[in-house]
Amino acid sequence: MLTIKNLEACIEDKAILKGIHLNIKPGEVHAIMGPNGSGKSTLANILAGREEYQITAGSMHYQNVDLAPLTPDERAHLGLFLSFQYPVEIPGVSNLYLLKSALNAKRKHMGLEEIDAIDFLTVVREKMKLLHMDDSYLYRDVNSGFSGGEKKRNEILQLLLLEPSLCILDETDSGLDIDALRIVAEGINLMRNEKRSILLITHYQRLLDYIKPDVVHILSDGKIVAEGDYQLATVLEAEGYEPFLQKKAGD
Amino acid sequence: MSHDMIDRSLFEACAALPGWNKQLRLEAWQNWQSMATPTIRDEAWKYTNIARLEKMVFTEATSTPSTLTLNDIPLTIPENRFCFINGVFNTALSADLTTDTYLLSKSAWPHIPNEYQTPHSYFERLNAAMLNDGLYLNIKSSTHSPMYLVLLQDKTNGFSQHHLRHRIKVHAGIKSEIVIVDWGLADTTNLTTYIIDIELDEGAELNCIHLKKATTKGYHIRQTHSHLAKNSHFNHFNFDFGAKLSRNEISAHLNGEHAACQLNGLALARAQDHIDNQTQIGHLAPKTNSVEHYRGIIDNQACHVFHGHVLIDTNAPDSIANQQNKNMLLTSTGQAYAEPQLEIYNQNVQCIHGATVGDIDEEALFYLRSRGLSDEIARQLLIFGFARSILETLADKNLQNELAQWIKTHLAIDSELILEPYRENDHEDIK
Repeated sequence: MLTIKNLEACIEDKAILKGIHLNIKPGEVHAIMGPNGSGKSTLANILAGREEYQITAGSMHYQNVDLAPLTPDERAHLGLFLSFQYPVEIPGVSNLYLLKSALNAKRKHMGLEEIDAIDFLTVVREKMKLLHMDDSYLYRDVNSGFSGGEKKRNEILQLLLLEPSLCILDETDSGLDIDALRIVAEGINLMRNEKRSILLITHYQRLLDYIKPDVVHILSDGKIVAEGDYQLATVLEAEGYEPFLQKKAGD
Repeated sequence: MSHDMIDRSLFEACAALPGWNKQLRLEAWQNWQSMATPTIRDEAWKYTNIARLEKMVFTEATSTPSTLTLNDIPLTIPENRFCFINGVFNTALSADLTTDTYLLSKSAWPHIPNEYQTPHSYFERLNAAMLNDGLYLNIKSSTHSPMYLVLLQDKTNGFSQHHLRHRIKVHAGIKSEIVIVDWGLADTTNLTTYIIDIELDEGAELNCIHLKKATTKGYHIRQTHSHLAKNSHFNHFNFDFGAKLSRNEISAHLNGEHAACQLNGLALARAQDHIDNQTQIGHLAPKTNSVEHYRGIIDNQACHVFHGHVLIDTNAPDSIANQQNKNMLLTSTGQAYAEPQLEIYNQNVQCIHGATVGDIDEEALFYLRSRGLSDEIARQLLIFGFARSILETLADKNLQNELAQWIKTHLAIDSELILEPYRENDHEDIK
């Protein structure tokens, strides 16, 4: 489904990804863990189509489509969704606009008619209920003046509404208190099915207690240095990144 | 020094009109003639060059009878209105004049107090010398619906000129709203000077909404001067859709304790438009309050100038002033000049200001696109969202919607979505 081969990327001549290999099959949940600056967010942003990064080698295919030439919106239409580490504040654009136009852009791409206002409100309110969000979220400007936790919840609301087939969650757990983390994780777990793939990017094991990954990858200095099942995250939590980084140095 | 842009014979014709104070006109004419044209070396005209005006020759405005109607402008103009076409009052399109609503040409001139009769600046003098007409509005009772003052500019032979001056007095405790519409319908070169003097008595409240859409050959100089007594409130909204040269000078003198003003503006400059907004707020009494928020959206080779002067006098302790100016440049060839200027002579005050000039936020653009919106729609949402911050400060929902539609048309925004309900109270019908 998602196949990344020997991906190398840089920003302003600084190499960040140095040969990433990753295979995510339908229905699988993968976690990428790693210290600050290891390239986790870069990978997420490159997958979503951020233009500042330059791909210098390798390839990334999703559903056998080469992602490299596609714009961010074309990737979204293909079913890819990035939950931002730092969701952007957009004053003057209401959340309702964003949600509705995003949903309609997707429907249009699928050859469906645009959803009308009443149906839309019914659908979105259903999803908001799951995330314990009240109606006021709809009428506030996108992420504007939202707390860190509110922003993350708003990302998951978009995820629930757009029902992407590949969800990339970039440090969705950061800035969340325990209660909010549980609500957000429940939202994500609702999305788990045999067709949908999820890529979790996180520093800590905490999120993985709620969303059990099938595969855990450890990223360090732009390369995946270790892979394993959920147990790997437990080892990491106990021993820290240090042993894995040393392992890499000994390669 | 003399200015040849207006022939003396035209002035003589004005001065001969009955009902006007000929002496005042003559003094204004002579003072204007002897005055040097402002240049970019003058602080107040640093970014706006009017040298090319001097090379033009303007004639009368009324050389062709106008057949314009209010259907020619894309706004709903209610019946409570007074209309001028090419500077001349149009009885057929206007409501009846009353004892409290005079035309200056019908001898209301003495009602302009002496201090206003000594014009100082270049365009004030020109306006006083060549004045076509104007209204004296003596507002003694509160109104629920706004009064519209409309100036239409129709086709003329040659380069035309129009000069208007209104005086608005709102009596103590009275609340009123005025919408001033300046609409250019014919793309012929014209010069308009337009001065509005506003006086608010104790506890009076006035919302003044100014919509200006001149043409690509229009030179439009407007001054709005307000004087606020104790506890009075003045809210001014300045929506400028561009002109060859549009200059808006807006001043608020907070003369009485607890007087408050809000000066908001949105400049939508495109093609070769030049919009110059100059605001001046004087905190001259204790506990006065001013809020100012100006934004500019600049496309193509257009230019927006914002100069915001705030003075807090020694006599104005416990005053609060907040000024914001933001500019969004849509091209690399557009220009924006943001100049906040604060003069504070009392330390016991709160003063906040901020000015920015930037492109469309790339982060926000990427965010919207990652949600499946095309580059075009995402840009349109961001541009409109930027304008909305000013639009939403208008209390009048209907006017807000009409203006939203106009902004969309003006910015060539075709997204259907943008005018859908987007605030909680817009949705009551489908809840």
